[in-house]
Amino acid sequence: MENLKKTNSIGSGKLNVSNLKKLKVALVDDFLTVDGGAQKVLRAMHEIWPDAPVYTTTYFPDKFHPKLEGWDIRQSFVSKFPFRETFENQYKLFYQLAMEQFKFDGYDLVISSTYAGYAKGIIVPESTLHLSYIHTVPRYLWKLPTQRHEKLNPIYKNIILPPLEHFWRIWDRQTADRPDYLISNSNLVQSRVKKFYRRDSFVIYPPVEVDDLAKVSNSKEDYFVYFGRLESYKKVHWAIKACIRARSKLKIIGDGTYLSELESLVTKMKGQKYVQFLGRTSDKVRNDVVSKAKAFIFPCPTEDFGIVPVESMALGTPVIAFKSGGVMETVENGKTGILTSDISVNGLVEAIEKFDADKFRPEICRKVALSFSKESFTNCLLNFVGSVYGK
Amino acid sequence: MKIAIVTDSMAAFGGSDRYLLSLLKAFPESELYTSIYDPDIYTTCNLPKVHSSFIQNLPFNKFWKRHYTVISPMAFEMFDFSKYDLVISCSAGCSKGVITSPDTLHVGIVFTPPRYQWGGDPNTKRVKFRSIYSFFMPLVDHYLRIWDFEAAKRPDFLVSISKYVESRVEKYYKRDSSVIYPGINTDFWKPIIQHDKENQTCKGKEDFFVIVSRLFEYKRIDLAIQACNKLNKRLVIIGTGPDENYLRSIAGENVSFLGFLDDELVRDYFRRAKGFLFCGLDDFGLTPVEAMACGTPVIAYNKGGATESVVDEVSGILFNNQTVEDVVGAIKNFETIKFNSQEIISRAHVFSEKVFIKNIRNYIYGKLKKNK
Repeated sequence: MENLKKTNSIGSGKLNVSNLKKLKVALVDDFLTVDGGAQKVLRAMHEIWPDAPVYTTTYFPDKFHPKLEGWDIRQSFVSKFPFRETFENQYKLFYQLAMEQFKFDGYDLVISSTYAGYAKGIIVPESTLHLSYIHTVPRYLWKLPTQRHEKLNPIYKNIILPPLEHFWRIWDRQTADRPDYLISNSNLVQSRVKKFYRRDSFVIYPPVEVDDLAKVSNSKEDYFVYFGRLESYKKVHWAIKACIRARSKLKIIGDGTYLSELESLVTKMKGQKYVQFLGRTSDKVRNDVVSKAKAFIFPCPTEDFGIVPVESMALGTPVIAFKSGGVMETVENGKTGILTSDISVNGLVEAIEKFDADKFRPEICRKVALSFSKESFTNCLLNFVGSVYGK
Repeated sequence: MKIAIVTDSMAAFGGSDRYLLSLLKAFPESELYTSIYDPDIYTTCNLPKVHSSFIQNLPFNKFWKRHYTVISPMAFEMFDFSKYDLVISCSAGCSKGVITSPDTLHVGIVFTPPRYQWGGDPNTKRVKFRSIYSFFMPLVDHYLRIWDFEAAKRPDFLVSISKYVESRVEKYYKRDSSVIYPGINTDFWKPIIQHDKENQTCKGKEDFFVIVSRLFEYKRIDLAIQACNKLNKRLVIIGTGPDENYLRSIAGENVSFLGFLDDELVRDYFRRAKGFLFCGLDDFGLTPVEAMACGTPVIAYNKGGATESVVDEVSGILFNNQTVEDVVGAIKNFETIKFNSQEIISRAHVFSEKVFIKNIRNYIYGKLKKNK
């Protein structure tokens, strides 16, 4: 929150908003082969500058829902390689080189949006302002917990990868010096940018689509809820164990590779009367279930930002989570949820038992969530550009 | 609190290992990490647990250890420090390149930016296969130089062992660092007899100069030998190294080589010598301080770390150029001055191990508090 205010007040603002929107802008993204959280940020930036071309290494149009209709997407030489979908990972070897080939003559402003480290490596003319939005530093390069190495062949992991990563690490740190300003998506990422890149950065939180989640219910029912993808690192099994032990009801919305294991866990613990799997639901049903829940249980301690806790707050439902990762910045302890420092099932049980629904007001939760809205993102970004442009 | 200390290598005992032992006194609960570890050398040191890198398991590691420098950047990057609260790297090479998370404080103690990459120690003149090395080394150094600059970004804070090193860190790494001098054990390095209060000199001084040094070219022992030859002064040289045959060939009758001696005998020579010669350019130089602690004044080159420990005309003489004439002049000048041994000893006590331990603990605990 503090950082949002900080970015609002920097600089003199030589250009007003309509002038800022008239700048000749280009956007850069690492690769458009998945439609994830980072692409939501790209969409929000493209909405500000709808004519801006998007430079990227390679683009798979089929992966985007809704489609990137009317976008001017300019792909690198890697997109011409044969079987590019099959060899997507192998072709990443060329992404650094590909980024360095793009030319940005004539642009006033280039914003690179990076989560794998490539896009910040572009080279712009001296008269062009280059801002880089850092979603995360490449976790595998900087020894942060990651799933990437879990399933690899040991020969590849222990003999081939270390020397490659060694050189990628040099490139990753060095290219972090190329943008004129860095923007981190949270305080957590800001601290990593400082540690690994030795650069200061400003924090602008990513946009969460809170407008569609306008439903706030004051008639709370007696159950807790989880929604999101069901993957092992999300630690949904902790939430299940905690609810069964605390004899509280839990509804789980969502799908994922870990679903069957979670179901067998519930059977094993004889917790069918407490835990209910709703699977994938329509947005309407989901919003209804979440808004009527006492609280949203978010058991993942390693999420850098965590969009779902914000969505839950937008629906007026407080959050129970660990004092770790991005929720520390989005959830206000005691006001919009409970953050427990004991990162274990015990910690969750204690928080569930301690949870008193009367202490939390749905309107306040929603209000806090709105500070992460797209509107707030757009304002912060424009403000920031205005304050540094032409400096 | 879990603490790790990382050093470049532990395969030959040198000045950096003395530093390491002092550091272990300041942080006794630490564990050690290094590229190659030879336990036989450290049998008397009572070390904590030592973790070595994958290089330890490569064949011929004793013979090849110098060449494995090329892959040691990777070896240090592969260590995992996620369970540690504090990592202290002590490097004149690659160990500062370890990767720590934002939750782990990494303090990098810099002995020097590596001399092979950044100049100052052309130790290669008398090695075998010189022509092969002189072809490959520029390429290897080119790569290591790029990586070394990156590695120097990784510690959260840098500590230089002298102002001279601080200036090199600023020049080559473009980073600020704090100066914390290493220290010597002043309970061991002390004069044998109470100094004579009336004359302010140590008793038992004899008419010879002493050098304690590894016999490397950059130590410039040749200058000391030539100057002593010229003035026909007795000179005792303690230590071994690749330059020994060359130095013997230029030495006159007045020079004796004693080879490697243990600390007690070295102390004995320090106590009896009238002066200690230090003609090289060094990052700090522990031996001049040890000599001073024994009441012996020092003749040193007026550049590098020695200028910070030796006070000209108080605890020794500094000369400005690395030439035989300047060393001759310094020795002549030295003999006209009556040094006050009490002042020499108290100068050395500024660089005692106790002071070092206090300073480094204060510094690191201060940074830890800020990191939390």
